[in-house]
Amino acid sequence: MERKCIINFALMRPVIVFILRVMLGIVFVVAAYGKLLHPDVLVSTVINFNILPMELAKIFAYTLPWIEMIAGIMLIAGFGIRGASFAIGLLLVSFIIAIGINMHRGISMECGCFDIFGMNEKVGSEILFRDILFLIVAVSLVFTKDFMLSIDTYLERKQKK
Amino acid sequence: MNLNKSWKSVFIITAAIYVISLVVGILIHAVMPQLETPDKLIVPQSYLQQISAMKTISIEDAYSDYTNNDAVFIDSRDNAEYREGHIKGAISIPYDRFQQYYPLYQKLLTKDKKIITYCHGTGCGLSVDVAKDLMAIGYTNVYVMTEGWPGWIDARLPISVGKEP
Repeated sequence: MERKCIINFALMRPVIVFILRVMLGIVFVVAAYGKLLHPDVLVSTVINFNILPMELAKIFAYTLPWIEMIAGIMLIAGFGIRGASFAIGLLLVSFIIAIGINMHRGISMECGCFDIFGMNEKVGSEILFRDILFLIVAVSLVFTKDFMLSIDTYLERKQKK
Repeated sequence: MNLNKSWKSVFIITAAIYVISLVVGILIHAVMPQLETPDKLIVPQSYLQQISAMKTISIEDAYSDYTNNDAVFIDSRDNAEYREGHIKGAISIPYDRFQQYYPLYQKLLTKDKKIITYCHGTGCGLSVDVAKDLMAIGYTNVYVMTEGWPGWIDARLPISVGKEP
């Protein structure tokens, strides 16, 4: 009985990995889209986080949505999955540190995470928890080898032939 | 060897994503002047919506009320931040402890008195939260000083440090 369960899980694994991968990709494409629509808001949000100096904060704000967009699309398409996951993981680490610092300061501020839905999220433990969950998914993807329905796997098989 | 090779490609892809994003981000910012960020901060839409429903007051007007002793200032930031420095004479009602702190100053906050709330400046909604709490219990003469503590400091106006107003 127990053995059967293990076998089933092994069969399910690529499917779970596929779902998590595409979900993470969609989350980041959506987040990036909202940020690209309102670049000015993003700049002030990053500045309000009060961590980077003004000029660096601006550069971070210009770059951030594109990292999210490119890495998100790569995850959905299944191209360079591990690299894209690593890129997203690094972003999430920076978010977690920034949120942590501002929670420690006791400052309530706009998160600016998903501007597209007009979500007025305030930085707090829920968002910290959510980012940690995303980070766990991203890190797991970095350590995964085979990906179902992906350009990576297709190219690898073609190369072997 | 194989593993090293695969990790190498992970790092290369990550670096490529970052570099491409940096270049695209800066180029787009450079070629689209409407995205130019002014010196003054542009605040989130949700904050603008919140603040549009409130009466606001500039630092100059607030200072004129301050000198004439026409208004009570409420610091809506965290209590620890209040202790580090606040507008001289301002009372502390942290945004998340309204029920606890309001009774302490109830006598001071008569309904005919002008009340000015402030927090971390433009984009900070804590002062709006406290102003809303006050309006909910019948205060009408409530103003939000949007430039907040940073604006007050920049103007080098009187401040006080410690737990006393």
